[in-house]
Amino acid sequence: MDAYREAQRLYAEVMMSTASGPELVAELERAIQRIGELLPQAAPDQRSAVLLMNSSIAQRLAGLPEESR
Amino acid sequence: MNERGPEILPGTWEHDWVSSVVAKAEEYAGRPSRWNGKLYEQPGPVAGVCLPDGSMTISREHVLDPARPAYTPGRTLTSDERHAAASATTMAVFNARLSMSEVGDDSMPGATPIESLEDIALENARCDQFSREYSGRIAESMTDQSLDLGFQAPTFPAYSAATDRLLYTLGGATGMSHSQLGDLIDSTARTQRFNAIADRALDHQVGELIPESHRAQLREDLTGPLRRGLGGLTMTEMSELTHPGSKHKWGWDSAEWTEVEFTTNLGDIKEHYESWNAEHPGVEPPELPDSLRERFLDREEEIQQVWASKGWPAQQPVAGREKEYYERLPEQVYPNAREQEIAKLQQFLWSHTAPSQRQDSAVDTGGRPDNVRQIGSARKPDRGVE
Repeated sequence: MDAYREAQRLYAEVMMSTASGPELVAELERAIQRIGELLPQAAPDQRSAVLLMNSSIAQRLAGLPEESR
Repeated sequence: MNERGPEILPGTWEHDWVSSVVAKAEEYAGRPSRWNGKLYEQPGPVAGVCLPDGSMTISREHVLDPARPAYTPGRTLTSDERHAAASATTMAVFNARLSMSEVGDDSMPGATPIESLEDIALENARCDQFSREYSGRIAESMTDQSLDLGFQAPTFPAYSAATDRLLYTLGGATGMSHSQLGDLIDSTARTQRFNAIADRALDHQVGELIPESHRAQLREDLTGPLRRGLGGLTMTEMSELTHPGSKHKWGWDSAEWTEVEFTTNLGDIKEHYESWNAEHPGVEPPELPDSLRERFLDREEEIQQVWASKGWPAQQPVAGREKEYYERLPEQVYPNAREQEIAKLQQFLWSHTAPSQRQDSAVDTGGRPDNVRQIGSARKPDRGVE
């Protein structure tokens, strides 16, 4: 399994999560970390895509109410 | 996780560069950014984020530092530096485009929830498309260095392909070109984009024949296919075994069926109001009859069956499918890894989107998908599992 596809899987999985509150925050943070760990293994021309997937997760995290984070 | 690092002050190279990228992106998009000029370092393996207060973060490690050599006059770049700067530019342009979207209020009736699957799909697809189209031109306008920003594969292949195709195929229904429909989406708050497409189609096709009191329900009849079609593609993006090129094709095919459902529903709506007007000119028409709503549900299920027959759970399951069907899937023996993965995804889909599980707008408090209404007729006994 290449790093890019695994990052996409992790991205979609966390985006479909039905968790809420602190549990959702933990899942989003964990996904960012795991996708980040895949970054060095990704092909150079796929790294920006991997980072943008993480940005999309971080964007969701930033949009959560302050008390959840 | 810290959402923002130290502030990057105006007057620094970093702030000036990001400001230039945003200004160029505004120029090409023809609309202003919502960035308030406050810039922070983005910690961790993240390119950058647009924060709710209007500020922005950008990664020094992954964006600013790799970009800088290409935007420093007189530098001779190695091949790796050139490639890294191109990627960094793409990410900065993506972030700049993201900063142009108005979020809107998702507590309004009929609004699309922010960060719902369909919102994520549409927003990422539009930013992806913009950054691939304009990163090269923006780089050219800011540096004499030649960055390799020609063909770029989409970051979100299924989302991008589906959105791009819908912009073409909905042209007939809405009377808008691909770029006009794209502009309509980009200039509308994220919470109202699907409604804006539905409104445009209703106004273009039926115009003044629709009483305003009917509009909210008619919007739902048209936004349902769009929301399911785009949101359901998260499942496709999730596949481990699907090549990005195949994801592109699934997105493309999904858009075809989404467009079929959308335009056929629209045709039925048009027929209802036009035939009423022909027979009772000047008399306010009734709402769509229950029989027509039932037909919309049948159509939704037909589209689901099309996907099921293709062997891919690209959309959410229809309410009423038997839980047991999904639970027994992993127990079977599959001839290959592909079949096994599809079964795993179907079970995941069920466990996350079954009516009793869904918490978002696609399901109401009674556990029904948002376009399923309590209408007079009983549910067909044979509806459901393929």
